[in-house]
This record gives sequence, structure tokens and C-alpha cells, in this order.
Amino acid sequence: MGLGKVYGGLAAVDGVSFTVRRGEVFALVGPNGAGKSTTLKMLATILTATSGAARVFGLDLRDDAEAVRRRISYLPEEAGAYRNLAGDDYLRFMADISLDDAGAREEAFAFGSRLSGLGERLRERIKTYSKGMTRKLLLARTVMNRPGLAILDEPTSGLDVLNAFEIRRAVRALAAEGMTFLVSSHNMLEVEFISDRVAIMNRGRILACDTPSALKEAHRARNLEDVFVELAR
Amino acid sequence: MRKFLVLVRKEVRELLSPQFLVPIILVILLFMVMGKVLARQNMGSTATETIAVLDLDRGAVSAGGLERLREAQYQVEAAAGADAAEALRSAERGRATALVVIPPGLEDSAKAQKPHELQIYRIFRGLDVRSLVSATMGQRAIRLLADSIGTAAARRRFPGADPAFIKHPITLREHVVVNGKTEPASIAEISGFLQSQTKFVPVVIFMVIALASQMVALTVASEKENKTLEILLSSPVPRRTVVAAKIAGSGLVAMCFTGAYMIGLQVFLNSIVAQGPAQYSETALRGALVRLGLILSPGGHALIGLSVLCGILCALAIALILGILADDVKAVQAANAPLFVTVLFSYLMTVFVDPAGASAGFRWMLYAIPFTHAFLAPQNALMGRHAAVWLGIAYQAAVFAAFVALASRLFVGETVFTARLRRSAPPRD
Repeated sequence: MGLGKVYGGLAAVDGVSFTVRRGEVFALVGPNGAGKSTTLKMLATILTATSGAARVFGLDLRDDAEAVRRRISYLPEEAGAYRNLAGDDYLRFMADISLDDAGAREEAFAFGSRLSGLGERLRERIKTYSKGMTRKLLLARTVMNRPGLAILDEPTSGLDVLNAFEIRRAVRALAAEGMTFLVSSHNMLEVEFISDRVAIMNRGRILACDTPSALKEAHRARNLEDVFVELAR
Repeated sequence: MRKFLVLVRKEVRELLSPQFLVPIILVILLFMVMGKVLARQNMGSTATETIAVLDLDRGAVSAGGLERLREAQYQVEAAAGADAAEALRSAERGRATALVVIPPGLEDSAKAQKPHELQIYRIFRGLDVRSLVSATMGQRAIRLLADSIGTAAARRRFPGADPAFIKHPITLREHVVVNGKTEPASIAEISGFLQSQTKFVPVVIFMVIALASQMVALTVASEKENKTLEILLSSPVPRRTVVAAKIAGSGLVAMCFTGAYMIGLQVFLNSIVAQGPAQYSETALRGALVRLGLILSPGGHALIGLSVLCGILCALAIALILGILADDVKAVQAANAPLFVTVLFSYLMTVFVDPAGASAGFRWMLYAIPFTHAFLAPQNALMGRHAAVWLGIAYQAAVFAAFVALASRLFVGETVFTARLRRSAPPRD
């Protein structure tokens, strides 16, 4: 509630409040610099809020950061992976540090390997992967241990149409199985397709929050882009 | 513990990449090749030393002297020319490294017991190691020649007496005293041995500390740049474990490189040390060193190793913090510069300055640098000052613990992501 982050006198996030329901895909949408990534980083325990508070599965971000990390999984925007590791070694490494139970680690690895869709290429070093392959590997890593909340920052940024489509489809499929997603995107048309509810952000604040259809109806707009233009005026 | 080991293994695998390994292997190979080349040059310099001689006396004394040079494996060639200037021009055109001019009257001077003059012209054709070594060898040839002439003069003046006694009535018997133990031994040889021991190890320490610190700073900066650090630190693994694993992984790799460097540098140094003929046999020198307590026991080696390890760990912990300040991989060198300069300063000061003889302020400043104790460990251990080594290790351990605590603090909070070396606009999105 009222989450805020100030960098050197500049309010990157200014009193943001929203709730994500279990099993839904909740999207933060807005232009570059709106404060989406900073909000996600605070919820992923990477950054500390300078004001307000947030709870993830009832756990306070500031006081129970380690417990929060056991329930979430975070994919930063344009993240890379360890280039000298093979794809399967990377998935195994992340499973090893994320899960304590050996059986759960094996299960997560098998699920991640399948979800990545990289097949035999998993045995090759990550530095030989294309951007799309790396992103699919990272998405598989993010969800393979079936986190309570998967936080995806611009999951399809910089990807071609087909790779972006595959990632969106994977997110929808996992959400249908009950996984909760908090995603950010500046691509409002993508968000309309992928999310159950949307918070439109600009200059560190949430301008509106509802389902895409409700937002469009309320602003008599054809799409979320029109809604944003209407709200940002 | 399991997660720690998983993280250490990842660090090691990331570090053992071609971009890290190739320069290191090249440096080691370079040491070895340089050593072999120098060894070959040294062998060549003793075998082919050519001395040009213009003997204007042509008497029995000068002939005896030149014969002595030939016996000592020098190539003696007669210089073409009627005077010194002509002979020098001829020698310069040839292979000779020195010209000896024996003016007329040497025979008469020896008979009349008057000092006579020999003219020596040393021809430098370059300033490479071989030329400089040759100059030393040439000096030895001149001493041999002068000694031979002296023997001839002594025989004429004191027939029947031992010329060696006439020339050197006093025999110098050198002794070396270390920590109350006295041993008859060559001062120059003991000194040479100690220098090789106390100068060799610090070179390796310096290189390893510089390399290891660069490594860890690079891994942190690279993880920040690729955002793998954000993924790692949002995972359910204690952040202090991440810090410990980074230091342990880099430390392990650095230790492997230390061994490799030591082998390479040992080959290099062996080839340089094996230049001149020893006054005493190697066995006698070793015996003297053992009795003087100057041969390190396995415990002494372990003590030096521990001090070096602590020095490396201090550098790793500091470099970890400096790596946090670097925005990206390109900025690592700038971020790491203060550490590199400090290590270099400590290394040079311990090589050229005796801290015990320095002013109190300078001495304590030097001791405050944790790497100084690693550089001083070999000489302290050789001199039996084990307490000083242990004190140094204790200080290094305290510095290491302080910097690890600071690094952990930075990792636990958000500073690891927000700290920057340059003042730049904060991330907005």
C-alpha cells in the first residue's frame, strides 16, 4: 500500500497500491519511465521501498524478505544467463539453489527443460543461444519451480513475433493451471491479450486499475492504448 | 552448505572460461620460454666469449697470461693493427667483446718489479641481458690475465716461494651469522640465495593478488550488467552465502593460478640464477643454509602459504566491493585501480625498503596495508620471525572479516544494485 521509491530526490514510484489475486495475470502497463520496473524490483526484494509497505502472501517485504523469496520468482527485463554454462546446467543450477528437496529439484528441472522447448540445444552453452532462446530458457527457469508468484518484467521485450507469441502463450497456459503472474509491459496490445487485470502507470503513479474490457468500456476506447492516451492527458 | 557448494562450483565454472584462461596460460608460457631462451643465451655467452688481444710486448709473461685465458675456455684472438686505435677498429668489426692491449715493456717491468699498465676496451654492442652478462664474463677474463702476470712477477722476485702466497698472503674466511647461528659460508652465495627466495615469492604474490582481484570484480560487474545478480539475489539463497561463494570460488581459481605461476617463474629464475660458477658446491651451500636455519621447513612454507592466502582473500573481499561500484564490465578496471595501486605500492616498498628502518609513520602505514604482511612473510619466516608472520595473518584475517562484513551488508540491502562509481542519473523505470 502506498509503495514509493525515491532515487536521488526523484520519485520513480509514488504511492502505488494494488492487489494481485491468486491465479490471475496482473499487468503493469505504461510507457518507459513509468515506474513499472522499479515497482517489480521492490516486490522482488531487489530494491527497498522508501515509503509505504507491501505484502506478498501475507509476508512483509521489508521484514520477511527471505521468506518472500521462497514464494516468488523474478525475471528482470533483458536479463542474461551465465554464458559459459550449458542451458541444462543453468536450469539445474537454478533448481539447486531454489529448492531443498532433491525430488522437487528433479521435477523442476524436467518441467523447465520441457517448457523451454530447446530440446537438444539445452546441452549447448548459453552464449551460442539467440535472444529468443535465452528468453525462453529464462522464462522456463522463472516458472519451473512453480512459484506462488512469478514476476516478469517486459517478458517479450526485443523478441520477434513468433518468440513473443510463444512466451505469451506459455504464460497464459501456466495461468490456466493456477500460477499467479505479475508482469510489466509497455506494449499495451500485448497486455490486453495476456492479462486478467491491468494497472495503467505513468510518472510513478497508477492512473487506473481494472480488467482490460472494463477499462476500455469506462473510457469508451477501442484498446488499452487509447485508454492510456485518455488518462495521460 | 549444499547451496554454498553449488554456488562455488558455478563461480569456478564461470571463471574457467577461455577469456580468463588464455592470458594466464600465455603468461606462464612466456615465463618458461623466456627462461629457456635466457638459459641458452647464458650457455652461449660462456662458451663463445672472444677476447681480442694486441700483445705489443710478446714476452714470456704475456704469453703465459694468454695461455691461462685459453685454459679457461676463452677464445683469444690476435687483434690486427699496429696500435690500440687500429686494433680496436678491427675488434669492433669482429666478434670480440673486449680488447686487451699489452703495451711493450711488460717483461722488463716484471723483472724490475715496476707496475705495468694493461689497457682494457669493453665493446658494448647492446644493452640486452646477454651483453651485460658478457661484460661480467669479460671482467673475469681480465682478472685471470692480471693474476697470471702477477704469478710470473712473483716467481721472478721470490724464486722458490709459493706465488699464490706472495699475491694473497691473507686468506679470507667468510662467516654468516643468522639468529645467533654462525656458519662458515660464502657471504655472496648466501645473500644471493636469500634474495632469490625473498624476491621470487613476492612477485608471484603480486601477480596473483592483482589477477584474483580483477577476476572477482569482473564477475560481480558482469553479473550486474547481465542482471544474473538480480535473478540470483531474488532467489531463496541467503545473500551472505552468495558473497562467501564468490570469494571462495575466485580464491580457489586464484590458488590454482598461483601454483601455475610459481612453476613458470621458477623455471625462469632457475635459468637466470644458473649463471656463474659457484664458489662452493651446491651441497655445501645447502648444508650451510640448513645449519643457519635458512631452509624453510614444511611448517614455514605452510605459514607463508597461509599469509599469502589471507592476502588474496583480503584482495578478493575488497575487489568484490569495488566490483559493485562498477556499472558494467568496462568500468571494472577503473573501479579496481585503487586496489591495484595499493598492492603495487606495498609490493615495491617491501622490495626496496626495510620497514623496520623506516620512520614510524611510514612503517605503520605500510603495515596497515594487509598485503604488506603477505609480501613480508617469506623474509620473516626465513629469519625465524614466526610471531611477526602470525601477527600479520591475524591482522589480515581481521581486515578480511571487516570487508566481508561490509560486502555482505551491501549485498543484503539494495546498495549492490544502486551503488555507482560515476554520478549518473538513477534508473527511472
